[in-house]
Amino acid sequence: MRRWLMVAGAVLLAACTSELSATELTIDDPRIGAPAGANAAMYFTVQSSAEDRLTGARTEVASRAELHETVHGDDGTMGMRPVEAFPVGPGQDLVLEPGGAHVMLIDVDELAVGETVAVTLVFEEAGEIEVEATVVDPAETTGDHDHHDH
Amino acid sequence: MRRSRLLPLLVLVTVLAAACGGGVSSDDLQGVALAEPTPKPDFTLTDTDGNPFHFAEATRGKLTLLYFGYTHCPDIYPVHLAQVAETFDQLPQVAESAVMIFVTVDPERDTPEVLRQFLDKFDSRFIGLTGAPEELEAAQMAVGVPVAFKEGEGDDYTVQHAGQVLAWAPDGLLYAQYPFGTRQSTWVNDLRLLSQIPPEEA
Repeated sequence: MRRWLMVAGAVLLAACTSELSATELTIDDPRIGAPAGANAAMYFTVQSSAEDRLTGARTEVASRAELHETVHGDDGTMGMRPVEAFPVGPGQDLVLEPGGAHVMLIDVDELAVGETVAVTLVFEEAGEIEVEATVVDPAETTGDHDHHDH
Repeated sequence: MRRSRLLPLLVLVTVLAAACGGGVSSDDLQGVALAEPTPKPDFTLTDTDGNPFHFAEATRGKLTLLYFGYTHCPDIYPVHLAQVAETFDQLPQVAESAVMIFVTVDPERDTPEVLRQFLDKFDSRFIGLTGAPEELEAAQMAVGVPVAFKEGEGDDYTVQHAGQVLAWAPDGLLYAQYPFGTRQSTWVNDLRLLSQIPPEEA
């Protein structure tokens, strides 16, 4: 067991010292609920092999994009509040999904289901990453998996 | 004293059980069922055409769904509304005698025009209601949900509000609530069941 760990450590070390950084950051299933009002919400999942923070977003289809979080009150109420950054790292995937963290697209253009929208996500370490988000029916923003109660 | 109070309740339960015949019981509901269904409250607000809407009277005998929200929030309400719209599409006979009512808790930004436009994106049959802040507060208190309140300042304020949809069957009783996270299959199951409960005075 210990020997395996040592080997793994050596491999990791080698990987980290190679010229191309081994840091890997992936963004899965970027999607936007088709807006009915002035704003829309964007969701996706980020996996990163290094500690990082999502600090912002921008897109041409909205005046502004902000990081928001839906908060659940003890009395069954729900509200939204802006968030400065969402952390992500090894063993800590960043999941943006309805009823929780989301990118709020403020004063958004009309978007039709099926359309794709370019959105630039800004990470503290990984820098700017552009993704193509698909506009989906709001009922389908909950993602591929069945929504489970928390 | 105790016993005599129990008797009418027993009779009522029996009558209800008989009336339901088809076997609608709160056990079959997948939403958050109330231990004991409660009567429909009354309040008056204004619809998107500017006409007064007397809740109890206007929804009598109908499967009634009610939600308090605001159109600037893109995270919660669209899921609820899209799911109900989808259920209405799947169950046209249920939709015919059902009403989905969206009451804004943000009358400042949600003008009747804004409300109408946004509800039409889901289903043009959905009813939008607004009113003066004190009327909206009275409506929320009558329904028994926490009264919404504004957070933040400037143009970008948000509103903390009740997150669930409430459902009254055609008999005028509130049977269940649907919090955020309700599955589409729950909506289909429950709206079908609730619509089968006969109106109070058939």
